Amino acid sequence: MPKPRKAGVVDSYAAIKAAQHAASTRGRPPPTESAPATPGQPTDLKKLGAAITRTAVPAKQLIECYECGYKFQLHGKAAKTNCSKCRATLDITDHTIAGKWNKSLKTTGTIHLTATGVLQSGDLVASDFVLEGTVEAGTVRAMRKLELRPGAHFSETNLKAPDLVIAPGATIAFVEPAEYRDVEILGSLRANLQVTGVVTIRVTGSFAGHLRAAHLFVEDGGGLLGTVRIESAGRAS
Amino acid sequence: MENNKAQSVISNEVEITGTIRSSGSLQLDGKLDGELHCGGDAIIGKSANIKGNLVVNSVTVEGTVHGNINAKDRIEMKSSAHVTGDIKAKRLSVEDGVTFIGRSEVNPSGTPIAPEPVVSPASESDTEERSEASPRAFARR
Repeated sequence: MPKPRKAGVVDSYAAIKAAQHAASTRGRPPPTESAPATPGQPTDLKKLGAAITRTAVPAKQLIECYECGYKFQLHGKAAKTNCSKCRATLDITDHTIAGKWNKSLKTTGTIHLTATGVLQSGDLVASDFVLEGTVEAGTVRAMRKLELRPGAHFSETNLKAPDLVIAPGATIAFVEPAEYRDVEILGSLRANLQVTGVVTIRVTGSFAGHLRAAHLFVEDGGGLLGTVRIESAGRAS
Repeated sequence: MENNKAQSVISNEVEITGTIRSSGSLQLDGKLDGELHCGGDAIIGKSANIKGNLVVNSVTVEGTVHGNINAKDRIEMKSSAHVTGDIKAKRLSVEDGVTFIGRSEVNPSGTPIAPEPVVSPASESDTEERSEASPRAFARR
């Protein structure tokens, strides 16, 4: 076992080691902030912070119970969970329907009815619903967002959603008056529309018909044809 | 406006009754009871109040306009804009927060947006006849 050396005592061994250290660092420039870091170490604090965040925080997702409407956060990945309020077992996976479909399906994820998908009967409930195919019968209820893509064929009475997105390239026409919370138009929409939130017409989007909304945002290049009434609640005369 | 063209400014202390004609750009911060014809770009300031029609090349509206706006090129409505009247332009830009009541005729692409659906009787079960002309919502491929 080595004998512990006394602090503050300069012996011959310490003097020789100090001289060696001084000789080795004589020609080396003093360390600066711009000096390259050793491999494997982050060069700035931002990268260091990002690395910590990645490892420390698990993925979160907002779940809305399709039975009672209660919203809660779920950490990490799972296929099923239980509602914190009503204890119902919730499917939280995404589903894609590419053929004929006759059953009911409920999920807090996304349901994508592809171009070849046909809903013949049954009730589909999802947080987000992407419609590219045909809804012949049955009902579709999106708890958050309904996205209509090119090729979507449906009856308005079969669809329910608070928010509506018209995808780029889609040409949609509603026959009956429609009411939504927020609407984002990247394609083309003709409708008699009442919106309680924001109507956003993107550069590729265009709207025709009657529009009544609290807020309107039109990107330079967006089209707007028809009668428009934009009044937020506080400003209404 | 930061360009080389001469710009006329009508300050917020000025009230005009009649028609203003300008071949260059114009900034209006006062009150106008009449029409504005502007060959260049017009800026309707926050304190501006116009009761009359605007015929301009392009216009940026920050104030209040009671009248129709006809722009050759572009209409830009800032968040503080209050427009009551019809608008017609090649291009339109609207910020969130505007108040706008009127008809709009802005179609930059020039293509028909979506055909008017023709309402005709159709049965619920006949899905084959649920064509684009049926009284249902539809999308064209």
